[in-house]
Amino acid sequence: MVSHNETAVPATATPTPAKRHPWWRSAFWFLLPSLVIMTVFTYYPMVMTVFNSLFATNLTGAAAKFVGFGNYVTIFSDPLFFKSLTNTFIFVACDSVGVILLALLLARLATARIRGAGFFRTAFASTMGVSAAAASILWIFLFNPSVGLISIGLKQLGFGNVNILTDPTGAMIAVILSSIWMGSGFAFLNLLGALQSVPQDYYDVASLAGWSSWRQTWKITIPMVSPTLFFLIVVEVIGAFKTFTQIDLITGGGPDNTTNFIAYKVYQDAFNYRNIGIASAEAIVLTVIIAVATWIQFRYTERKVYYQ
Amino acid sequence: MKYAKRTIHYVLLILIALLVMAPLLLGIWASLLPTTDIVAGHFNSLNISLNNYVAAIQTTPVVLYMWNSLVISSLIMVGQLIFCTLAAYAFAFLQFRFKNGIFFAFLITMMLPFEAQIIPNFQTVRALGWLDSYPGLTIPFFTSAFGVFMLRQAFLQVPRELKEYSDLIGLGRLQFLTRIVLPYTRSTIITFVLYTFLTHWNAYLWPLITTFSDAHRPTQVGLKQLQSEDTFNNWGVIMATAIMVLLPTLLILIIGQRYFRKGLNAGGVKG
Amino acid sequence: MAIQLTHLTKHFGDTPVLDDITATINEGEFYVLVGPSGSGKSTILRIIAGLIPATSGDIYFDDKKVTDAAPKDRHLAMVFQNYALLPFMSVAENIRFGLHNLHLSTADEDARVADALQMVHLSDLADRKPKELSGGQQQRVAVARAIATQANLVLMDEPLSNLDAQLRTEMREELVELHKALKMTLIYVTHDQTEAMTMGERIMVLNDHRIQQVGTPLELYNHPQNAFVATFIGSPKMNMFTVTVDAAAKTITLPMVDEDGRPALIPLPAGIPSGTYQLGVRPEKVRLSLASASEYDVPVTVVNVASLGRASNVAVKNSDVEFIADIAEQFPEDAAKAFVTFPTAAADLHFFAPDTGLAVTSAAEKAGVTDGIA
Repeated sequence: MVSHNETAVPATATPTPAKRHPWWRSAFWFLLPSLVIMTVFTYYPMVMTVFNSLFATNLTGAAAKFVGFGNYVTIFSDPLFFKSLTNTFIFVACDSVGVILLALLLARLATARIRGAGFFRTAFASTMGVSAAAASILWIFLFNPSVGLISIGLKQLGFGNVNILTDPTGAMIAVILSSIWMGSGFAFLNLLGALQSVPQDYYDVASLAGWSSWRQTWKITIPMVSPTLFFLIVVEVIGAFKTFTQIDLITGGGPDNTTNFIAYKVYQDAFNYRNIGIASAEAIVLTVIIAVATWIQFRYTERKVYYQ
Repeated sequence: MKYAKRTIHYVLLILIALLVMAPLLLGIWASLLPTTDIVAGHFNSLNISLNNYVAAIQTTPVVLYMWNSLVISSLIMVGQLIFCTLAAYAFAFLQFRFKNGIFFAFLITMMLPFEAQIIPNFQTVRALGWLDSYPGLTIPFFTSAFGVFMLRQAFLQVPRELKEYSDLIGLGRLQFLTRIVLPYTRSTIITFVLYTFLTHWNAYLWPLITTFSDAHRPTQVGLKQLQSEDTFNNWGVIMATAIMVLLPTLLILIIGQRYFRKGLNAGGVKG
Repeated sequence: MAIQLTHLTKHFGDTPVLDDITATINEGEFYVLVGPSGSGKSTILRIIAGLIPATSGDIYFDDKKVTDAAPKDRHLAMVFQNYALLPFMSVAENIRFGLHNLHLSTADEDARVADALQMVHLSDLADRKPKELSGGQQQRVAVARAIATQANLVLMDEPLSNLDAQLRTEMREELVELHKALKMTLIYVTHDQTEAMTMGERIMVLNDHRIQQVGTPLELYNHPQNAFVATFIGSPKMNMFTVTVDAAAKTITLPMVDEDGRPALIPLPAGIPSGTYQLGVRPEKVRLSLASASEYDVPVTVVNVASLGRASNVAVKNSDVEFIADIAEQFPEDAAKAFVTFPTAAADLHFFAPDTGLAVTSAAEKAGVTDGIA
């Protein structure tokens, strides 16, 4: 049976009704597997999280009593949640800016047409191949007060016997540093791809017009890679809001909840303190933040697609 | 002058490369040193050997963890390749009712953080009896909106004449998909497959809450397990296990670098 | 195989694409569909192939109705504008892949691939990937893939439009020769009237979703049935003037003035009633001289001389009416003034009704048409 309706015709085309499959006979089967998985493991849990956030739950996680927005009132009047939220925002800002700046520097250095550039590109990209858990172990080793090179270095610089991970500021810096390192490879690869796709013609024209290389960077390179830059910023921000692995392995949220970022707090409230209602409300707050960031990205990506 | 400029560039490149690679290089170096040297701060020791790796393999379940990760990542990779390809094919080539609505329903899941779904998902998987098992670690990830989106974008690049040509020579839908669309878009497919493998080899949160035994525990959570065992302060062996765990993904990245550079730009969200 | 189209119409939603297309394409004919973009010519081709369904109307291959047959059951081959080669297969594999539906033995497939490659002079490049070939070579592969199927009907959708001018001329000749050798029915879509004129045995001119005229190249050129065909076929384009005819005085009044500033007149052939018309005159029928030779000559200023060496296209102007004289000789490039002699033969003056654009034929020319076709 030929399917006339699947011939790609101009967007305005509507296939003749008589020759059209009933929808449940064709496309449906292609979509079914994904739809089932998404229904069970994305839509349903999302609805349940909203539902749970409106209930006080018992220790088994079952909804016990409807409390309306009570859980939200509770978390927003909880100084600990506020601290978590504030520190999350500080972390997200430092991490995203750090990743982008580092990646820009690396990409700028690696696009030079010199011998061995391929080796340096691989070196700069390498952190993308290191999982957050493995990276955390590498950094724990560096931060370790007795054997870690960073601790030893600080000691020799005259800071004395510091244990970075038990100092609130130190722990925050440690998490930021390790996260920037982990994120730089991905951002670098993307920026490198964008930089390399800027047509050489533009630079040739600019050179003929006598533009300085500084002016070329600002007037050609930055505008040309700005879609990628924007994409990366959003992706980094979203990723940073979800930061979990480094926290669980390096600091455990401490000291004194300094690094207890929101995704980690959801996990603790749910799986350590069995407070499903509260954890769900916190998860919804996280969802709203992520959804807004993703929405901005979609809007922008859409434009990018149309105007390219 | 030009020569000097080039030299400065090289020095800068080498310095920064060393700085970026430092945590990894130090980790590799430490994994080759006896723990006694590490604890004593003798990083310039030349007592290098593979003893830590031998010890890691003999005294820790790291090989089992890696096997689990390989099974889990491969299953998810194959599952996503099939499920996402089918859905992307429908969105790219078929006309059907509610197409835009259903596509939107797919896309919207990219806005919803998995972290906000883990509690009900944990309960679902527990109810299905899938805790601490391969199905529980893989089936929830058999599709991804990101994958569907990425593949659909690639499929839309297939010229419509190729679809017409395949109708003309009598290829069925599945043959068109496997014999024309997939080979035509293979660089995206490779990117997608590598990326999926990488993401799930590196997964942490979900296995953390759903695995309780070494039998199904994957590497990333295994690292936590090893690191948090009280008796386990043998730095040499810890570093050796970490290096073993990161080696497969590092190799994938180095081999697949050019695909990531081109493919991921196409749009989407980091896992 | 002969093809018959009866009352084909096609709408995409509310947008009409084809309106009442009826035509017969003879067995073994090189048949060209030509028209500006959006005229519906590619849609006709795709309906014949079965790639898109017609809204109404039927298609017959010989006497068999194939309106609802699947493309693969129509046993035809097609050459696409962008060639539709599979980039991941070699040239030979591409050709072989096209035989997929024919269930041949491997030996037969080998023979067909070899024959087809030889016919398009690509035997040496059998193992290359399409990307490693030039545009012209890719085009040949696409043709080879079509002829290897030995289909009785081959459809070509603007196959030469992605090639540069010189290659296009070469490929035109090759395709015509190929058709002569293989004698399959060939339906060829193009927007280029030169291509249509030089290649087609018969041509269907389409515009505005409708058939404008069907005929041999010379029929279309000499006897255009309406103003669209008249101006579409031929290069440089036919000159068009708004004129008034006085049947009693046997004169045509041109929208120009003579040397004394009076309206310019030329003699009228028999059989055209009085009224206002669009008058079409082919540029090569306009004679140009530096001195006036007859009372009907019209003085013009020379706007531009395009010298081709053996001929000249001279743009001239009188009273804001600019037109082209295509003369078969060299013309002084610095001439400022000249005189135009319009043709007087009925066959060289094409009258069209100003409202419908349809040809108004003089008695003399009608006789000529009958002769010409017989």
